[in-house]
Amino acid sequence: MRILIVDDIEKNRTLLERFLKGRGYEVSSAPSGAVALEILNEQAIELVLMDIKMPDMDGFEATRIIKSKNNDQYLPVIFVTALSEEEALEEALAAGGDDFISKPVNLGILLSKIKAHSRIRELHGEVTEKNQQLARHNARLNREHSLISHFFDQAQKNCFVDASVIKSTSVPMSVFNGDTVLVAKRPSGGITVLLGDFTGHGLSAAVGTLPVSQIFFQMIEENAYIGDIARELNRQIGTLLPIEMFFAATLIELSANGDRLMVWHGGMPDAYLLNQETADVTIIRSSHLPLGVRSTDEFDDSVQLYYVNENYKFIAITDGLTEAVNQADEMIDVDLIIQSINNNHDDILNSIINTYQNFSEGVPQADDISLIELNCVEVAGENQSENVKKLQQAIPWQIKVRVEDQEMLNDLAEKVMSLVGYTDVLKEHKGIIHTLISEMYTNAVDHGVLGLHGSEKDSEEAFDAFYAERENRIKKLDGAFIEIELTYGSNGDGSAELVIVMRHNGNTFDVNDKTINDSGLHGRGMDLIEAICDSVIYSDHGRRLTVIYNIASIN
Amino acid sequence: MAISSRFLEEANEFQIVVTGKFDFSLLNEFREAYETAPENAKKFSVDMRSVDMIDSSALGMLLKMKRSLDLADGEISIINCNSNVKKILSIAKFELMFSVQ
Repeated sequence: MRILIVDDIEKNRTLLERFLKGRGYEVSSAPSGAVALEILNEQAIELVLMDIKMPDMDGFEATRIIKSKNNDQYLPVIFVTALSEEEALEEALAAGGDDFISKPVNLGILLSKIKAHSRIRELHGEVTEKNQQLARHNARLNREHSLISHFFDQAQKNCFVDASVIKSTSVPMSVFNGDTVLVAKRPSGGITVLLGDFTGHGLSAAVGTLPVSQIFFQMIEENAYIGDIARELNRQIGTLLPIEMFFAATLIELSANGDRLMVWHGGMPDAYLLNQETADVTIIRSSHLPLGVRSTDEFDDSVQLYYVNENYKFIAITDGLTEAVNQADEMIDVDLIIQSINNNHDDILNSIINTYQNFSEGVPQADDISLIELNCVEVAGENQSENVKKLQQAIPWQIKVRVEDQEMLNDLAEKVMSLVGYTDVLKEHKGIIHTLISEMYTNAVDHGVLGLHGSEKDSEEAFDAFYAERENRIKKLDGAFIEIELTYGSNGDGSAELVIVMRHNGNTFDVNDKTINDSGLHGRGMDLIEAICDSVIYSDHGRRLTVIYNIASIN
Repeated sequence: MAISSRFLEEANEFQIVVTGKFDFSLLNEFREAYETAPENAKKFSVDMRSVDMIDSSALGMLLKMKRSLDLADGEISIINCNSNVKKILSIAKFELMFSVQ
């Protein structure tokens, strides 16, 4: 440890220097404040013994400068004062001095003071190091927070947003919300909503949001039923998350035209179904355990179904609100919530939040709070409107497929559709074209090649027999073929057409005989083809069927 | 499994959900589904949310269901149809016998 002695009187310096060196300290000395500052810049001094009265710069001034420079490290300054200078003590301490010792110096006291300040210096060093560590941790935590926020934003990005259909409000306790609100429009129309609450709150609760949102949106893409979504979430949460973590959740499915509301409700507070016309509020009670508790075998995917219309609103709340307490440690009453729902049908969520805030009387929030309000309205599926430009720019193409004999056991329509599926322009018509090709192919195989009659399919027993016979006959075929040719081309006006020709080398019939389209299960097939297509023409004695499907004609 | 079914007791509704291609290959599965409907079922729905193609034999199967359960027009709801499926049902004039949504 190196000590700096600052004194203008050489005798004083020498005395202290000799004593301290004798005790094993390293010593530097300075005759003035100015020289002391220079030495402090150059050497690693750990303690200063400071005289007060010195020419040029006195001890006060020197101390003020030293203290202003040393922020991070504790550099103790001990003033060495004559008794006559005692009144100056106050100023010495104000200048930043840490201690003082009277002249003539009692060497024993000086030594213990040096030891004491040395200990303080060590402790101070440790605290500084800890603070720096803390600052580094904090910086890393902030970086991680922003990274995780990014994940959450991505997870939420897919959410369907339309305030006329769904509103939600969240009051998280910390940066991360352990509550989850996911909303998606199903491709076939209608809305599926998930309101959930992981055990606990903050980041540890929020991590579960990521797998949940991934599963949710993926299953919605497949138009999945909420019972199945609940089942899959239950399985994944049970597998992924530690046993003490589970997910209370309400899954809501509103049908495409907004008239059926299905609810899977597990481990959540009561939800509410409001009829705005009558102001009736139906309480929907949780009927299942939270997700992630039951094993897949025990899992119950049953849902509650309500018939609704545009006058209905569905409201669900997480337990952060229903379990909130006031000063008297009472929980909020159901009637109070129902009352706040009916207070303002146009702004139910804020009305409930206001009620909660008045009720809680300033008792701090103990869990995340989230609310959703779903309007039972029609939500149409994906836009199927025509893109005229897309049609005009599409290049014409042709596909020809031929099947022979036993190949007719295959579902040709399915295989042709997998080819057609790659073409962008037909995407929105795939279902119809699939039906069309399927009907034409079935006719060609059953009636053309095999000579079976539709009426044979009429009763159920006959239906099974029909398909057995069909398979039988196909297996015996020798030299039969069916050819299908699809030609796509766009017209100048932005419309486009698909010409389908189905040709076979089987039975013929009188194309002018209208009675050939018998009724029953099969006749409908031909009716469908005629209703769907602009033009349907049989030729080659019934062995060739040519239809024209107008791409712009479907609405 | 292309077909699943369930009975929602409180609402008294029997639901059948069909997925994928709704054609003659589902004949038996579909029939078995509606045959499990309990006697006290008051409402019936066929959910077409994931049906992308429907052919004339499926139309026949729906008619069979109606006849076999002895239900009046509109007592079976065909729900969550995409526009292609709706178009086919409309061509077949199914709105007259089913509640198509």
